[in-house]
Amino acid sequence: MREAGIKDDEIVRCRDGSPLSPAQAARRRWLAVLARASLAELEAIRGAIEGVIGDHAPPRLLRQPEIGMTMLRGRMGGTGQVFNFSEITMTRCTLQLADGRLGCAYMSGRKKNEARLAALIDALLQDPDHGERLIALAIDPLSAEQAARARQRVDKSAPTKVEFFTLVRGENPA
Amino acid sequence: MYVAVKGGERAIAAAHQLLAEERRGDPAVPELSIAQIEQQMSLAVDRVMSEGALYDRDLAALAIKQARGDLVEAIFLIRAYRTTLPRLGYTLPIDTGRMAMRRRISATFKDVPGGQVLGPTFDYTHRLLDFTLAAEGANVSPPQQPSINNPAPIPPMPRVTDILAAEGILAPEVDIDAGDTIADLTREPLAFPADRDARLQALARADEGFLLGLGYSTQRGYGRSHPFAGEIRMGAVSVEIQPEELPFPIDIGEVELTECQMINQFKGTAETPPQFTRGYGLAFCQGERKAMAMALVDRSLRAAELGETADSPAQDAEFVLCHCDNLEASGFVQHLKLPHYVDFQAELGTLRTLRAERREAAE
Amino acid sequence: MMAQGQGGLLMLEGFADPVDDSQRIFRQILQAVSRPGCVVTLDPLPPAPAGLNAASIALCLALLDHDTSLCLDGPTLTIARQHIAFHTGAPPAEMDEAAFTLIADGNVLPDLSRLPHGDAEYPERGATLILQVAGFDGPRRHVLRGPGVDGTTELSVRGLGDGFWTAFAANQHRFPLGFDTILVHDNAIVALPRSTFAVTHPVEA
Repeated sequence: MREAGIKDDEIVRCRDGSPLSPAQAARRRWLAVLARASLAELEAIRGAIEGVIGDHAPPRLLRQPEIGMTMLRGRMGGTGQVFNFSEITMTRCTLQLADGRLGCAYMSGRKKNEARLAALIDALLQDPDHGERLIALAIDPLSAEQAARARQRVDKSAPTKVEFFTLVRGENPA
Repeated sequence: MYVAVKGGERAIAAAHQLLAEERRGDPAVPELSIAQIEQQMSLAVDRVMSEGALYDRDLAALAIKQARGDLVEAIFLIRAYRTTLPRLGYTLPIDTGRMAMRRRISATFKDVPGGQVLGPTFDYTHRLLDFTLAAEGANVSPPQQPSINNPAPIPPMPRVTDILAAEGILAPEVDIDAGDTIADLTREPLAFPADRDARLQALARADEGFLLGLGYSTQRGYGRSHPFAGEIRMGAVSVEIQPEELPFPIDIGEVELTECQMINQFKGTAETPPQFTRGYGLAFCQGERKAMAMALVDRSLRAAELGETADSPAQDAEFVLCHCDNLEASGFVQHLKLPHYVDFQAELGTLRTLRAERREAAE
Repeated sequence: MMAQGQGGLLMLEGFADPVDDSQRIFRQILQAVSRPGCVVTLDPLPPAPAGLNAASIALCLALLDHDTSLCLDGPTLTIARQHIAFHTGAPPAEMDEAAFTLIADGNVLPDLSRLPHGDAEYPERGATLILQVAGFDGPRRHVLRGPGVDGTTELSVRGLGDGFWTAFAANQHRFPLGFDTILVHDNAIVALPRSTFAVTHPVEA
């Protein structure tokens, strides 16, 4: 279990119903981290990656950064039938490196520059030689920081936790 | 009947100029920034997002600034803006059971597993004006710096309703695969009878005041439904989509939501034993009053489905859903300001004739 | 061109300028539909995946989105299918449900009577049929008349099975219901909306 907001890998399934491969689970994790990163954080990640792999050929943009909406779906009673709740702004971008690696970014909000950068980082992180090192260098620290931030937000409410006592009316037991 | 009128361009331009001036107010007072509105008028932002039906804090804050704080006008601006954005798809259903909760209360169980967490609430405040807030800058306590390194993951918290449903005394909410047939008011206009999916979508964007009044009416006896606030939870939920070019779903960020589950008595029918039923409310961020009112009205609109007599306003789906949208209501009420000269001349003519006839008859 | 790369197939871009280009193409489609039988050349054209003409892809990118289902009919169109799904988000559908049906080879026609033709309340729910043909210079002449045609006009089509003209004849009797047709070859299109009548002439000696 990672944190409440993000689903565990075990319960996530591919479109065809199969469980995620380790590579897919890793990519799913870094895409979630990139979707929450600021422009400055993304710039820093790109810098760190390029420090390891050096120059790379410029990617081809298959889909330029695009702002739109996605319909947020809920469930009746939290667990029941699906309904369309409301919309949320989203930015997406997809590019491809010359060797075929596909980089994509989908993030909530209106963030064209962030999406373009995140898509490039997604492609670069799929590096066959340096992948694990790049993740340890560029993703893990930010992931920990994001988890701590989320935790901190929840923890702020901790002192407001209450114990209600029922006052017994009438005769108290002896 | 509406007739086109010409002219007035200069007067309209001057009115807009004056509006801009009034919006700014006294130039000696510092101008509000979008960030200030987003941060310090956050509940107004929440409401504009819920009823504007678009989650984007900066856009909502901008709309509030442009509308001079008129939230219904700001909601109009957001609804207009959203029509300029392409629809890029649908998310996977959110899982509010995995909410990173900042508030969670139950009025039905004091010892709810996971505990009751009040969070940032107006409840239990004394509703006395706090004049220290009027002394700008004087009241700000230094921000706390909680430890950044709490390594424990946020635990998922079971819903009160899940516990009751597991016991069988609350009607379960089960996932029926509705496929592509989920109603979407942004694509197909509302039609009656409206199913619960369409009703919930309409209520989610409905005017808070209207729903609040209707919810209140159910408590006062117009379609009694004996509600209990089974659980209210507020916090962040991650949003997932299934992109076309990837075989697996991905997480695109978080939304803050308030979920309210109302629990109501139900006498049962020939087929179902007496049990609790529920009404469901969902609103962006801290829209708690809205989520509660929505849950009350959702439950009252289920009267027909549960075989109850439906004779109160809050149980009449057509009445509720056709009048709950403040954009439509505001538009139709305010259109009365537009020229109706020809209409009125016709009415005037009729009236004069009738009066003349009456006079003649009297003579 | 597709090539196998390390990370997978190389995918194709859509329109270079998604907003302006799709509006230009839309304007040209409008021109074709309001002048039935006229050959209209589309420009600018996006890259096309194997099995589809550039004009077919331009039509898809300009007209399809999440709310318009597509039935793509023809062998070996897997890449094309992915390409359209990626760029438009159009959900796949069976022909009798689809808002758009794209048939890759006008000589290999499925049963066109399955195309939705709308109903009295919603005639606009009739399908749009996109048919790839071998050229607009065939030996058979079709005389067209109807709205948008000054008197009559002639159309020659190569690579279009007789089944189409049978279905087209049946379509004429359903107006205002029915399907609308866009014939595609290379970078050009010809529209045959449901309001158009056709008389097929045999080849003259």
